[in-house]
Amino acid sequence: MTLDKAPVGSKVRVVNISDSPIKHRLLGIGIIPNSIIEVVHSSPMGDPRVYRIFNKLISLRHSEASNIEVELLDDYIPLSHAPDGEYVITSFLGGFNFKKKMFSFGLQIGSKLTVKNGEVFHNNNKIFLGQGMKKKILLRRA
Amino acid sequence: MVITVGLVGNPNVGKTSIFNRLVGARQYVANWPGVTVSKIEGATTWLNDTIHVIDLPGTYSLTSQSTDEKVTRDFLFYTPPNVTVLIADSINPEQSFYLLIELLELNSNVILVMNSIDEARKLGIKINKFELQKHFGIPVVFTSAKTGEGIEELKNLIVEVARGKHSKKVIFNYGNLENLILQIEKDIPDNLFSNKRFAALKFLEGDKEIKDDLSSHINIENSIIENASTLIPTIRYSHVENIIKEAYSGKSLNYQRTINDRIDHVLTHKYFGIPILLLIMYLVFKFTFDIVQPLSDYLNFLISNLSIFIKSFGDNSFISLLADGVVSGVGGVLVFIPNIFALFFALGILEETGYLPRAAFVVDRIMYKMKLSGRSFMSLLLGFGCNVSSIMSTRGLPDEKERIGTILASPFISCSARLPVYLMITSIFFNKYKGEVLFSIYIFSIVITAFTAYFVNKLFFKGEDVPLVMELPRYRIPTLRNILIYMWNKGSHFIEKAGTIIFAASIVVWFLSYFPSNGQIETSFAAYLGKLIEPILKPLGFNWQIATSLLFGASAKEVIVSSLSMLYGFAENDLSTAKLLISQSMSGVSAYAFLIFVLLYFPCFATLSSIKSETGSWKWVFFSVIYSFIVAYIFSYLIVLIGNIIF
Repeated sequence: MTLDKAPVGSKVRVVNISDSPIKHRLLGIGIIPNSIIEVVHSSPMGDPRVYRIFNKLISLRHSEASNIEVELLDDYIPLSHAPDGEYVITSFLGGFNFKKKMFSFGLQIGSKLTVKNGEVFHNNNKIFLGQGMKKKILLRRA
Repeated sequence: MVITVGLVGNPNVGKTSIFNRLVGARQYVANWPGVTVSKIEGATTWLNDTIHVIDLPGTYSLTSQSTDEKVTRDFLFYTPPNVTVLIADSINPEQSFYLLIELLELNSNVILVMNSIDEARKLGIKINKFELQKHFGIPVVFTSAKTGEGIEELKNLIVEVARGKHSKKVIFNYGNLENLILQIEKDIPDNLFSNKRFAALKFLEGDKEIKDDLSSHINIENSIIENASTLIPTIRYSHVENIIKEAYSGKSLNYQRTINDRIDHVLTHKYFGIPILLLIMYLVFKFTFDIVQPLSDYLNFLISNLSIFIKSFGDNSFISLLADGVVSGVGGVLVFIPNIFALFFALGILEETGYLPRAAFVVDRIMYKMKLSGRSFMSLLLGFGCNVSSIMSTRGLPDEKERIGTILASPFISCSARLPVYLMITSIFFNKYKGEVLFSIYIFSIVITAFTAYFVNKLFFKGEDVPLVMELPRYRIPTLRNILIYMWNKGSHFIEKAGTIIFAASIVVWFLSYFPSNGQIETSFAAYLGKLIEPILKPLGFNWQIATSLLFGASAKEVIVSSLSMLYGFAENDLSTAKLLISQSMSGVSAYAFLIFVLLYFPCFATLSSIKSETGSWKWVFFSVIYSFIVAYIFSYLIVLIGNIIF
């Protein structure tokens, strides 16, 4: 996965930086193999986005972030990107209303989820969630 | 003894604030030889020595890729100063320490300045000075640009280091790469580089320039360099992390992050981000144009009285030169000083708080569509002060395509020199809607600028785009001191212009309008010139006085005001009647068309000369003149056409 594909709120580990005219600047800023990057938020039009590297906020366009090969950290997997398996909800990226809505599905921080064939189960009940909502639910492997 | 000091640091670590603290307002701006980056220098006397400080462009690395990085690197590499001062951010030190390691590989006469120490203390972060001194082998000083803490200590240290206080040379080990580095060092001829280890490291990192210099002497497979170019920074960062682990203790940084994130959440919000940007810009202009207006009015009153006072001494050509030429001409422009300083005061606040990069971030997508980037957005923003400073700041842009695009688009940014014209015309024609009319002009200006950037890129560069990697610094409460220095540095340029170009232009305008018939304006040289071009501008509803003033405005746009007030003032000998006459000579629609024409028509001499000096080619100058005149004529004509249908 390249950095521009990592959803907002997720944390990723850098695998590789491909050669480009901005490679040295990225390295100097601290985007080096094994460093941790947090996708902080996106601009009003979705591109560029702000990333946290060490404690600095750096904005990168999608075209630039696509030079950086990354993998999702185990504790910050968005539901939208979770492969089949058992998970625990670690955080919600939405505001008060989103949390309330999730609570109405019986979901809160610490709830266990199972992903099977791309479908989401909670206490053996299938839950229907849109792609946008799935992006806002962060999981770690149970 | 004169001690030269180079200030080095990442962008946004408060380098400029430390510079201001060191030298005060005694600073001047020149050019780096051969390239197009401005060189900011200043000097101060400390005990018996003169400390000469050079503020180097901010950078993350000494591997040169952009012009800014190259200037800093080349200065330190080829003409090392007596003392190099690295300004680090106490709260987020990682990137600063990375640059410091690179710097120590280059020079050993370095002082580490841990800036923003007051903020770090407030957050409960503890930094062990002695650990830092031990690991880097150099003197360390804690400073706060805000309170002035540590500045005297820094000056003392600068003197001590320049006098030869020895620092311990620390070698940062690159593990498995050391053999390779040694081998390259051996292959470098003695006469090429004195610091071979630095050159060897830069060679391995893939620095283009060093690689070109050494490629004939060294034969190493590309795949090894490819690997090392990532490995070297990675090892450097592991040194950084170890040092931070040893030197830092106390609270983590979560608190500050939350506050920052909350402010960012609002200011760069998906829906509110752009409206907030527009609102902030609107407030800046409201402040500049409406709130400080009484001050301008008072100055205006003083200057009119001075002119009347001089005329009371008699009626000859010398008195007329003084009263109508010098005092009215220069004075008519000087009354706008409060507005211009207010504008830079407001921009200074935006810059100091850290909002400007957010503004760039929020609009980047739009700018990107116009083939510009956030960085050029900031350059263009400077154009609201003066197009010359805007064109000069494009030097920081690493990409040639973007530089040309920005340079040719920036004359359409409505500079402060046009402001006097807008203010005069709006106060005559649109007094009730002053703020709104001005706002519409600025919107107009932004649209045409964006279009021009896009058009230039499409026309000359086939639409290729430009990279952007930008830091969003944490929000800071601005200090009055820094804002005032910022305001003075930018604003005093305007006074300088008023004193030189405008002074000369006022005398020429006076000469052309006084002779050959001793003040009879209708038969003056100026009138003949104006009447000559009047037919071209007739369809826009401009008379020969307006045409003449536009002609003179080419020397500097604010001259339009002085020439108009002279062209009309000559007939009646007082400013308020001149205003009345102007309002009778044009319709409201034509007045608005005139405002748009002044905004768009060809750039002033100073701007044209900086286009020439920045691009190095007359081709772009001619393009700019012809293109802008065509654009100005078309839009003004459209306004007259459409306006006459509606009103």
